[in-house]
Amino acid sequence: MMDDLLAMTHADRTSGTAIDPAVLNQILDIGDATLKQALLSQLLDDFRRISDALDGESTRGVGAAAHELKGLAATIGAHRLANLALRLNVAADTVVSAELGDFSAPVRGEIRVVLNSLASFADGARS
Amino acid sequence: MSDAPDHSDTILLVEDTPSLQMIYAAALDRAGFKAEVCGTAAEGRDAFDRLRPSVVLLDLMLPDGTGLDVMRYMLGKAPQTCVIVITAHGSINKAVEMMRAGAHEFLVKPFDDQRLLAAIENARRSLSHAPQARTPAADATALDPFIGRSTSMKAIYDKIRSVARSMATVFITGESGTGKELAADAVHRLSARGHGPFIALNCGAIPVDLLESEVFGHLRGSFTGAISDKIGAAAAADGGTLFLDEICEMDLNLQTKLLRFLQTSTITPVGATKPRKIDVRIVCATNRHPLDEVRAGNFREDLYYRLHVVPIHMPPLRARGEDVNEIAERLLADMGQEEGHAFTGLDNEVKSLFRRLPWPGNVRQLINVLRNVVVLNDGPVVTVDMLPPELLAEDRREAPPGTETDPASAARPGQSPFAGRTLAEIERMVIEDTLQRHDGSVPKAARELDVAASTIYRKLETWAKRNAG
Repeated sequence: MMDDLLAMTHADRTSGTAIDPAVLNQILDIGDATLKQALLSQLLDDFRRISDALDGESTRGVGAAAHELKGLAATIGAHRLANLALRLNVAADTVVSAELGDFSAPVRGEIRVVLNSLASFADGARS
Repeated sequence: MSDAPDHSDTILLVEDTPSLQMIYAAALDRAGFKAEVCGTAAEGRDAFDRLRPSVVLLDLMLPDGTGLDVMRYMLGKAPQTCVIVITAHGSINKAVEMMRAGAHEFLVKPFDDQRLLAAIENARRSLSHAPQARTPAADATALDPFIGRSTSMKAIYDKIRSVARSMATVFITGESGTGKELAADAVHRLSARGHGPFIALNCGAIPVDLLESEVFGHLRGSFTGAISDKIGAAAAADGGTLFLDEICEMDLNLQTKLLRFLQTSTITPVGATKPRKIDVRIVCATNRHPLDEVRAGNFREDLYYRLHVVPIHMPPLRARGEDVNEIAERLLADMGQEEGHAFTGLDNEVKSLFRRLPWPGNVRQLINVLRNVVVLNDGPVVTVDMLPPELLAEDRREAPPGTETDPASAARPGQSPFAGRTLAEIERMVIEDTLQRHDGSVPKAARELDVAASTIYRKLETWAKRNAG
């Protein structure tokens, strides 16, 4: 089962775009430009914070971070990251700590992609 | 009176991810709600104690505890609170556990503003129908709409009082105009959920293609013409009673969905993918013989047994003896007042006539006759010459074959109830009377009459065919 989960994790890494712009634009349409900038800034902070939490030693902590990540990523249209986070969340409940890195590494990589994408959105919003 | 500010309209949002807090709070703000935002279980509990909001949006996982623990805390303090659980895909099992523990609904991330606001509106609507403490006055008035002291009606009142105490499904049978909806309403009003909603739906009056949406609701865009979300009768009755009249008219496909609803207590509106838990008592009714409908393949047998838990058979007016005159005089007084004509009662000839008429339209027909009399006459006493001629013609005819007949009431005073009847008619009268006394149970009636149950089934089938022909 774990091999399957890992195979799906690798497949997720190459599918689709980092963020669905239609979904993100809808989310960002929450108010005036200041509020939009504030939300983008908060999203960047949240993804960085979660990425840091994934470096932790505790399987439980990694599981909790993955749980938070899958909801946040899905909400902004980062479907690939949401799927990777879901698999990490499942893995955190089932594998030993030493094996968890196989699942968290691709998630951290994808978070970087999403952060870059969000930063571009933030730049675009400012200009 | 307390001067404390009223926070019942505040939505308490307990969500630990700051950007999601911002997104949800902005959606609530745009919709005109005041949101109190918390990021931890402890903050959520404190805010709940402080504000006592009626609707809470609660994340499943919080840094210092689970949403389940927070919800239990809140429902322990205020059981009427509507908790809407926010969860992510892959955590549905936990959300279902929350639903079982009393959550009102759950939203799976990602969800848009519209879904969020629909869930809140749904919760607020159910709060406005929420059951409250019952009063003894409600007990005293629940049976008031019924008029009549006949033995058969006293048995009905007893049965309504007994069944109201339980959650059992009630199946009411009887001819049109015998008061099936009144009985359903009385069961509801006497029950512990008597202050909850009583939603009546006539399955025979709604086009088949719209019935599913009427019962279970629909989401916007789920079919052509669905321009907005619609709450169905089942959800509207949450916390109360759903009365499904003319249940035998329900389409077979919808019967399957109704059965699933009864088995799981969840509904899935048309166009929705997620079920919603509903707490509803079902009371249904038909003017047909439900077992005949099962045998004819028009009604699912498994649904019949699921619904036919406590049967109540409403007797026809002609089987209620002196009730017809008691009802008539009460109605006459009310109608006379409405029309400005002072009627004081019925003369003896009219009373006697009313007692022997077959009243195929039951109380509904009686109301029409009296309205006719009151509008066209001044009173004070109703005499035979005031009655519509067609009613007098009815008196000259036999009760139509195949109509329910009560031997005791059909007889003229001093005559045997069987006088002038054929043996076949008497056999039918006796069998139907026995079935009525045993709430439609063929095996029990067969035991009393000392015949095989198959004999009664065969006869019922023959009579049904004859009626259909």
